[in-house]
Amino acid sequence: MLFPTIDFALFFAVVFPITWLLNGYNTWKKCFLVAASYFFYAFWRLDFTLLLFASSLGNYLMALALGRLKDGAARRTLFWAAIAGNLGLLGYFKYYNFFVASFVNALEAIGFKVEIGFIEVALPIAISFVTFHALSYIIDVYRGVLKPTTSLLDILFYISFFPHLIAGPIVRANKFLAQTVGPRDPANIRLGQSIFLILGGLFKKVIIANYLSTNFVDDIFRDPAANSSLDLIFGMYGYSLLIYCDFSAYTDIAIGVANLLGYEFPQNFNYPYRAISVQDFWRRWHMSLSSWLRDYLYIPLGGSRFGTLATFRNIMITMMLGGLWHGASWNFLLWGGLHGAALVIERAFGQTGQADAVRRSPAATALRWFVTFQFVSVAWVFFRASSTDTWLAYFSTLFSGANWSTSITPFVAVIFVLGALSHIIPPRWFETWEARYDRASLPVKILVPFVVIFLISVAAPNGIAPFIYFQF
Amino acid sequence: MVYRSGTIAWMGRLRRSRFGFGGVSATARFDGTFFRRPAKLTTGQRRISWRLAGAAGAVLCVPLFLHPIASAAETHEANVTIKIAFAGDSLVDNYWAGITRLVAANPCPKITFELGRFARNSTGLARGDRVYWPREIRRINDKFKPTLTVISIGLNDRQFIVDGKGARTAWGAPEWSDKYRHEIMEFFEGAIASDAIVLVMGLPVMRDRVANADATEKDSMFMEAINAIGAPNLHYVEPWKLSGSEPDTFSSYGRAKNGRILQIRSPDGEHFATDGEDLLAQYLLPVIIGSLKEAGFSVDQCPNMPQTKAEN
Repeated sequence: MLFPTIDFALFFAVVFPITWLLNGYNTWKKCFLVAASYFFYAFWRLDFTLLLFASSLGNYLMALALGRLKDGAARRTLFWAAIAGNLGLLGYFKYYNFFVASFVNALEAIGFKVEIGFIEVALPIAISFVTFHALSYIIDVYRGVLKPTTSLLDILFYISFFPHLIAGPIVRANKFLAQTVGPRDPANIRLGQSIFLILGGLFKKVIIANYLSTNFVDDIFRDPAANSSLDLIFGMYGYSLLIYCDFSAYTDIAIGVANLLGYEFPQNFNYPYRAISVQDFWRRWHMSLSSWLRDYLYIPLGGSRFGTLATFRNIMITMMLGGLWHGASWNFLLWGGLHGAALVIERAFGQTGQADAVRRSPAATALRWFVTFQFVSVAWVFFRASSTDTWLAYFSTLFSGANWSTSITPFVAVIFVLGALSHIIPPRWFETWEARYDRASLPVKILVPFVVIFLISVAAPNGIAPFIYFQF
Repeated sequence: MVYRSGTIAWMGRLRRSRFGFGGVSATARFDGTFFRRPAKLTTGQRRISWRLAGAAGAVLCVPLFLHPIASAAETHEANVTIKIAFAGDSLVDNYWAGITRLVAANPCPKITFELGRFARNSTGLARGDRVYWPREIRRINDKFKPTLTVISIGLNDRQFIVDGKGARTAWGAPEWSDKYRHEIMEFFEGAIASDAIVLVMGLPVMRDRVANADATEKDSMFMEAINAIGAPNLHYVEPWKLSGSEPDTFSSYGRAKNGRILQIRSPDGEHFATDGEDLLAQYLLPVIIGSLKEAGFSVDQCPNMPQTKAEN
């Protein structure tokens, strides 16, 4: 069930009032939301709801056991068993075939021929996000940051809550479980903000991302060699806008929907293409993932505590594993490695302490923004390319400079501008409109979303492509 | 904030923001480095920074001057004689992409073929209210005037049917299959109305058991319809098979054209990954050339092109 569909609109039209009717009966409300979330998930595959349940139950029991054991070998063993269980599940479904193929190819390259079978099972949707939610809970309990909950219902609710289930944002267990204790206060709902997040998200996904994808970017990446250098440059920027509009749309809608149901999710994007360094970019892009990687991978690896070389190694490991988290492909690993290398270089230069004032001058800031955006856009090519041949063809054609004509139509140019506006429109404009919306009469409050959704559906292309991050 | 003017003046406003189009939290925290008031610069430092920016800008502009805009001399007009349309759902995009790359890699057919992409994702013969393919294919024929049309459809048709007049037939209703057969006939008749050669691609093996059974049933319906119409320019093309023999079994990884084991099917278990598209193209291009030759077209054969079945 995709957010921008009639199916979801009907689903939410049922879930929203019932949730608030049950608000005084917290346990029943949570039961209802768990049932609704499993129904939401079952829309893709009914059988994988069992996997979702089994993962939640397993982590619930492991956490309870971790909470009861005192520090020692048994507790450590149980903790690593829980980690291995979660990662094993992810590895089995997502990475097994990739590693088998890579292993077989490597052996064949040196003259050995082996036969290893592949697994032909569908990748359970959202398994990466489910795993990260579960790991967050287990690790926090192990560290003593969080007491294990005795309520299985709370864990089922935390892991399966439908707004974040499929593509995040990754909500920390301690932040979410604290919200499940009692009824939610309707006064805390920021109606204007939630409605504008949902409508803005729909616009970004249905209009900008969909048109940009089907009318321009997909064609460019299908056969880069058949395009002009100029189109490849536009294709690179187009994908930068596309992936932002697609993914941020999902999380905006998820945050808006969760807030309408009374729950707070963390911020996931903060104008990422305004970043003036790669480090700054990762503070603004998929913030819930980057902070997860920092807290549960980079810092446990040693962070920056053991000298320069160890810090660089930890950055590279974190970024490459972060890249691989996106999918079983060498391209994702390379993408993560590129970002890791950029972070290492920035850190190396940052440590020299040279000309700090010059670096912060307006001209230097503009230059740093420009360089960062170019780097991020170039790196997206590796992320989007479906194979090594694709990005090789992309860059060899781009730098051949053989043809500087463009196939961009005026319509696509308008979509580009709309995409760019997502980073240019002053935030206070939205604040003003939200405030007006909050002050408006009830009929206006009802009419505005209907009119906007109607206009978006009229302008929408046929068929809605799944969100890019669904595959992760 | 001291960014008063210039292209990055808007950046400063973010600090005051609660959230924006891309931001979402009432407690948004921003990078201190970016929004920190810049230290006062000496005139020398200011000059250096502007020079740095200017030099970088100049370096970035060099490629634009080295390569004249739209090197028209190099965009030689193709000597197009044969137009091939790819029409149908998202699966036809896999054929189109693979053939596009294969043709582009072979200089000889590159100047012979013009490929037209007419895939409409998430469509099929069931939902005439979204795209009514019998009408759409006629529009493609009128607009593109193909010599040959490659059709792949049926992937999204496990649902109720809405025909061209808006009449609905429920999914699972006893009359559903007959209604669907009727839609297939309408579509194929529309496709051959222009006398183009029409190749109807059989649906390949799918990972999901139900989807695979459905694909097999659709393939039989396509064959039935083609036999019933009996037009000499309408052909059914057996689906591509990894093993090349019956029965085909689904495999998401397989030997790609470079001999390495790579992902050939996409994670959804229905579509093809890039390397799989190339395998599809290796299979389909000889079929296309064979059909064109059979219809009396002179198709240049290049030494490095996949050979037709007859030549094998």
